[in-house]
Amino acid sequence: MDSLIVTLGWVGMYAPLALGAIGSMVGCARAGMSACGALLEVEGGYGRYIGVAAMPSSQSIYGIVVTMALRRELTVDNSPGIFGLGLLVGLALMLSAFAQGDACAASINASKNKLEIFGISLAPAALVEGFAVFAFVFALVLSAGIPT
Amino acid sequence: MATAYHTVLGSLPHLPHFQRAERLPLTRLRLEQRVGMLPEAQARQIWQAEALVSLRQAVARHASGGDWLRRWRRTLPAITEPRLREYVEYRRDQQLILAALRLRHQGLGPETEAEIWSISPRGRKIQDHWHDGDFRLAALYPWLVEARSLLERQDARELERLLMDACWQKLNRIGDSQPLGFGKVVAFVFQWDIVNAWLAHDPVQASERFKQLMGEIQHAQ
Repeated sequence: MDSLIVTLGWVGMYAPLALGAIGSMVGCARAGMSACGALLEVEGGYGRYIGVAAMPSSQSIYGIVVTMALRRELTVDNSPGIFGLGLLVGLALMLSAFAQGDACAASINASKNKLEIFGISLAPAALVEGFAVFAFVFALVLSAGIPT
Repeated sequence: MATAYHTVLGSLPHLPHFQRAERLPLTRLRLEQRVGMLPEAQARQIWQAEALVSLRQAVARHASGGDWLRRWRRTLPAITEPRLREYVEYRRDQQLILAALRLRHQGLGPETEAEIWSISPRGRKIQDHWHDGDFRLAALYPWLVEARSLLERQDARELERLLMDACWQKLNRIGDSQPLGFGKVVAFVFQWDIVNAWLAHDPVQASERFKQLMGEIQHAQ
């Protein structure tokens, strides 16, 4: 039983990085495919669209930082906390990257037809990023309370 | 997972409402190229559906009820994508209701084209309520009452506009149900078809096109 609890601790420690990276892959792919489509339609400003397509990569960075914050010698006492915190923040990062990918794709689709809305069309993607930041910051704060 | 829809949708320009469109924002060739980025089976179904329900092609089509029925029976089973099928069935029912209105306007009964009613579940209702003004279908098809009135006034252009607008609204709903998916691609392709058909009816544009063609011929000589 103890070994199972410690194993879950390892899962929780790596979950923010793994799930954040999965989310970033899918999010960047969705936005990137939209950007590639837009490149067929527009005459310039290609870098702008590729830049937007990279936005969901930030969830991987948050995942790396949380995984580093959770990193400690795993025991029966601290593994449940690491599992719960790591898994939940990982899921939050993954789903926010999916959602941000779609928001970026929508922004690219809208702004290629009307360049003047480029900035404001990114607001939904920035809002989604805000929720990922909440999950990230509170994971860091709560990780300090887990026994070392 | 990410799909080709994102690329296809990213490559499609904004399509204004057909009554506000001054020109097609995308040529037929470009449209085919972009839809060609979809998985092969989906792209094939789109063109099969287009051959069946295209408004542009309907202008030149003079098929009998039997031909119409055979074409539908041959093609409909191949269209399995739910959003595409939803629109195709909507257009089928629209054509069926219009046929019923025309027959009734000519003083004929449902037995005149007895076999065509079997193509849709609405056919039975049309037959059963032949003498009701709206075949008791107005709740499902709000355009029906106005279409009947326009048919009686023989206002073909306004009737065409009404039917196109009904299709446009239906496609908006299909597109909104999947804003980054296949439904949005279906909506674009068939709205493009509506714009294409509407512009082909535009007498001002037709006149300009005629002048342009004449200029080209004279220039070539």
